[in-house]
Amino acid sequence: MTIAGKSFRWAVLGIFTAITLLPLLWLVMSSFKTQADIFANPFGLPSEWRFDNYGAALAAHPLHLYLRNSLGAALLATVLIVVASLMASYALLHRFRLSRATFGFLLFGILLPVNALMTPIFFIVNMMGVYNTVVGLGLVYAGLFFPLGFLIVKTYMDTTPAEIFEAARIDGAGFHSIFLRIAAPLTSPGAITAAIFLMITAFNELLFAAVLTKDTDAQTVQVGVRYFLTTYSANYPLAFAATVIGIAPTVVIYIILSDRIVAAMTAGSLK
Amino acid sequence: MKRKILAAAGLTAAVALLAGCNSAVPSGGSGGSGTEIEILSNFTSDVSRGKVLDDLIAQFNEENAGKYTVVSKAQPDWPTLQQQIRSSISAGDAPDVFLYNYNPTDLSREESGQLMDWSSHLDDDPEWKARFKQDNLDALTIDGQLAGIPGDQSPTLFYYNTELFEQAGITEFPATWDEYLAAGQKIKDSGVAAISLMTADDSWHTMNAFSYLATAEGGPEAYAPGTDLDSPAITKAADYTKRLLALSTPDAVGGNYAASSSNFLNGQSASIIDGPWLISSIQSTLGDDACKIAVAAAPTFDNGAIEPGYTVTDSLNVWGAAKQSDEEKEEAVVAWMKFFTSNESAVRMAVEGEYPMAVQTELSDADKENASCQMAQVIELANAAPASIVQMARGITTDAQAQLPSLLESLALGQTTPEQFATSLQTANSQ
Repeated sequence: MTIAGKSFRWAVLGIFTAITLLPLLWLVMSSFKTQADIFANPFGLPSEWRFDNYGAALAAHPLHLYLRNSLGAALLATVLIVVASLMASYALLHRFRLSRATFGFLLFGILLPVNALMTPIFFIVNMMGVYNTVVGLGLVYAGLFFPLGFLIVKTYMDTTPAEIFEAARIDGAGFHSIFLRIAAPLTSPGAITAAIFLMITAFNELLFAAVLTKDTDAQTVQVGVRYFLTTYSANYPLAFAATVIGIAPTVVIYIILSDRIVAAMTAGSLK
Repeated sequence: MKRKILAAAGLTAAVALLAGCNSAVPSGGSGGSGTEIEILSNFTSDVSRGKVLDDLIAQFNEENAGKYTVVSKAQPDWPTLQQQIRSSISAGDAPDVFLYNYNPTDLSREESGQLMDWSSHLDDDPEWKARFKQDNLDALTIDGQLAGIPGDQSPTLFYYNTELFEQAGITEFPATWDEYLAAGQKIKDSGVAAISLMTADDSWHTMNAFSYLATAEGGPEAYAPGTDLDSPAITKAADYTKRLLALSTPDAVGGNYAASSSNFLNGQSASIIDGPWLISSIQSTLGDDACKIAVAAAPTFDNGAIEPGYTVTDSLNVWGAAKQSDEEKEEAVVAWMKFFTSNESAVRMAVEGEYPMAVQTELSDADKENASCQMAQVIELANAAPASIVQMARGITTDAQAQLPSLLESLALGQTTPEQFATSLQTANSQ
């Protein structure tokens, strides 16, 4: 590669890294400032490092409860979606009447403007008696984000060579046995990738979390952060500290599993 | 084997986590603590009005121990709160008591058949009824039913930083808009923005200025429902709003309420037009220096179109309640609302909560002394106001409301003229 090519590559990488990291760094830095400092010196280092902003944010609202609720709703939705996606993808490996229509139906949700469904979803959740519960929120997320998980899992499962299933069938494995022993395990990298995306998406969701909950015991961390930025007042340093606490789990998950995510995303293309 | 153990441990942890989360099953109905009612509002405990509400609830619960229990559920974000209320009503499960914004062009909540009719309760207690303005009760009476109890109708007034005004050589608040623009230019030349404005969301601060300008030119009916907004008054208001935006902070175009109010509180702008809820932030941000912020009525054009000292107000916020089949619960709701709208509660809300309620509020001399410097001025100005007009954005159609940010931004950036602004606004409002 020429020097010009290398320079171009580094320039592109540098720009993308800056676009990704600078807002995050700004957020973290601002979380150590005072309100006045944020406005007087928005891009500089804090004139006085206020580490107690984090303590104050944790003391002001039960962020640990909000985190627990976010994790609970995201985990429930992720488990339901991954299991359902694996089963649906396996079923659609087989040709049957209306299989193409079923595939289209399962993916149709991607095209829907979900915010417009707020009232009917509220109605159903309320009717089921799960309004203002983490379980209710998790079930709604499972429905909303199913197409995303299904698409990832199905794309991955479709790359499994048909000969493997054929060999298992010749060895006497039945329909369910092939799913449990062959299809699901071989699709686990794709399922893990889907799970990570789903966890992050559900964890960061705000609109439904805000409307479908009203108690500390059910509200998520994204709703909790809004308490620092209300209609009548805005405490930015504490809001930023709470935001950092709120996004920490997803950042940590990504850092720990980034190799796995990249490997799983590319593995399918090489099969 | 190891994998199976890990999987089992993971599953157990997940179940335990979700079981813990499941404790959020809503409580309600009658229990050991009497009939329970929930109040849904945006009075979070972070702001002074929320703290006072919590105190009042505690007092009410103590006085009615074993009979009634009131529980506050606060949603910090106003639009989300309104969405929550609309969804609840649509689902046929309106909250027990809730705070919503009354809009005469959208009576979907009042006409849903889900709300309690308060008329008989007020008729049974003339003393209580007399605490509310008849105009407000009339507005809330739809098809002979009183849909709610007036909550607040906050006056928006000029809050200005006397130090920054004096630094620019201005010792008195301007009486006319032309004087204000001249003063604003001096303030801008001294290195500070003259006024905090914003165009995002409902363009609240900008639309307060716009409403004052329109009514100053066209009188109280300048934008009354049914009025053609493609008018000289609206055009002039757009022209002056454009000039005000040029005197504002650089983030006015695209900025939201929080950014705009923070600019004022941090001394980056010298004035703002806002409701009394700002006082709580003034007190907490400026502390001992809070009294350098003074309050004034808006300027006029000195053309006789409207009497000086009038106020533009926020929309009437209303305490609605779910229609109850349980008589005990209805009694509890009425008992709470009588307690909450009593003079004692209203005074506490005004003095400690910086929240003037839409009920007759008689402050004693001691109360006035205890009130913050801004609240005392707000009450004085509101009492002296010869007229009150609801802010323009609160009364136009939802289509027009949705287009306001882009219309104001186009105006600020010179992409549309004041005449085009008025025409576009009329078109949006008539759709």
